[in-house]
Amino acid sequence: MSGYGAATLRPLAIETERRGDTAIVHLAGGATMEQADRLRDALMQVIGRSGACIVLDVQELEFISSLGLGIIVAAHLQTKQRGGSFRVAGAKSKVGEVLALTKLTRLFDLFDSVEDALRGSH
Amino acid sequence: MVDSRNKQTGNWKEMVIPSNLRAAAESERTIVAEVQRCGFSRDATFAIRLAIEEALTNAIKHGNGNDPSRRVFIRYVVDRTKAIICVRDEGNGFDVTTVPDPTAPERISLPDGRGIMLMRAYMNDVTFSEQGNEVRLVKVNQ
Repeated sequence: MSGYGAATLRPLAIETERRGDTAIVHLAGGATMEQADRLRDALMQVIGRSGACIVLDVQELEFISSLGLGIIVAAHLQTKQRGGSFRVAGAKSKVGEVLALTKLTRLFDLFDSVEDALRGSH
Repeated sequence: MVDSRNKQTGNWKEMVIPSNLRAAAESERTIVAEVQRCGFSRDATFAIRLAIEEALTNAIKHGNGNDPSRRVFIRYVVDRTKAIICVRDEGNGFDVTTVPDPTAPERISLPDGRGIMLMRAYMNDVTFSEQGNEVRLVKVNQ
């Protein structure tokens, strides 16, 4: 069995692509505590070198805990402090549920898909 | 890593780990594998994994202050009806009633403080010892 209820989660995969002045960060697998440093480093690197706009694609993300949520919150704040935009795309299934429970849906700009996030339409 | 003091007392299994996230992740995988063997659903497995991760993160980070010389003590029992996991650290504990609501508007943009809330949201029962350095997590297999 694979997915959010699997005995072993897929390792966290982080891929970054650039479209115009927007950096899209695709996350897949499990953002577990063991992967927290990788997630933090990747997001900080993107914020440090990219322009102001970031789309975080979590559609394939199977797991996230408060540690990962904190890293995303910090990335969101840093991007905003630089005058940029930070959008979260594809938050469904269990990750969407965790965002709703923690009410981070009020903090983040959420979009159904990366394309919607790039267009800025919910 | 999970150290050599893994043992079993009755149905309870015990692990003692150092305060690092790699060892914590290894112990988490051990318990989740047992949860799977006992036929818990995908949703319940997700819930248990999340709660264990929150408990271990709190124990290492807040309880033991990331001090590698301090240990985390894990006891658990899993059968086809329920999973009970207890996580204890070597810190001074805390008063759980003083933990603020992380969803309050003035706290929503803080990076920390969501762990206890998530444990409570996903488990059937979450109780802390009087000292506050041990948490007991219960998930019923429904």
